[in-house]
Amino acid sequence: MQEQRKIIASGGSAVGLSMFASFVGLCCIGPWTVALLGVSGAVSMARWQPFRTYILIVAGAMLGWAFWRTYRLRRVCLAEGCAEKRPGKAMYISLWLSALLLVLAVFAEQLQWLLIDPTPAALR
Amino acid sequence: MSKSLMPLTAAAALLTFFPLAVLAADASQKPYVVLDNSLGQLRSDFNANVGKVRMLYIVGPTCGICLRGMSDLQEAVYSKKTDDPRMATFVIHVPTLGAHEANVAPASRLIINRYTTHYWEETGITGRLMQQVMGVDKYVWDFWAIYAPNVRWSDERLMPAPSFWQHQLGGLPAEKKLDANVFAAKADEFLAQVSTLSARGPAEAAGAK
Repeated sequence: MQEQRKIIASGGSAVGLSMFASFVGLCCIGPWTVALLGVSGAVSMARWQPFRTYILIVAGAMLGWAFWRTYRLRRVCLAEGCAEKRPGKAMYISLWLSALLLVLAVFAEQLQWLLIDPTPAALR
Repeated sequence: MSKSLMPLTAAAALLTFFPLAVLAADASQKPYVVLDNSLGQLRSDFNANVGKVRMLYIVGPTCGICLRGMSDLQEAVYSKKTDDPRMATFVIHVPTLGAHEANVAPASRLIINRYTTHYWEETGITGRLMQQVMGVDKYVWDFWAIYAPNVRWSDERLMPAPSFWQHQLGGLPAEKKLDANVFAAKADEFLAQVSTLSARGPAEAAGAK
């Protein structure tokens, strides 16, 4: 149970960091940053941009650890037959969803320009 | 009308018309100038400041990265050279990322200086013209340029090529990414070409003597 909690905490942190990195990367997807956070909030958010890579690396490491522990636990359980300790299906699903989120976060900047054309409407 | 009703009527009139008067005053005190797509006003302001170092910025007022650029330059350039009469700055806000005129006033507070003018240019043609000047294949914004004191905007339409420029766009040279300290150092180099007295208007210079 303790092991599963650790995995959930690590996976959850990775999800949080991925979401934050996506938020930083998607800063310019529309006027919503300024609408939500105001000008000074948007400036503060943009100041995180240089650290985005490091945030993603930390998120990746946490998620990697969560994956390793989950699949290692499964292997141990398979070997020792500990049915009650085995990670549940929800754990695997949430881990793989977290991984998907992390991949999206990595490509957030590229994705935003696919979704949004910054050129003024009158000139498109 | 009875005398007792007079103060009430006056108060009612004041309450009715005071907000309108405030609105009118607000409208006339916009912290920015609205440009038409001929950019005539910008061209005239640019040429009126020949002899000074001119900065021209094309920004989106809702783009976090542009706003950060403005904030960085305020820190690196303007807060260190408070109201330096040798430089004039033109910040052109264009409607990238769906920005509207309402977004300009809050963004314009990031660079405040006696010799800085903010503009709202609704069509965004400024970026297209700068694109032609720079010979690049994408719309130019989040763009930060310095013009040497002797540069004049002589073409009817196209602005002159910048003497120095930086950007925060993908697809333009990475070594030209905006670095506020490099930008400030370059501005200093150009400013060294201008003496303080010659940059002031005749009246200002006479007052300074």
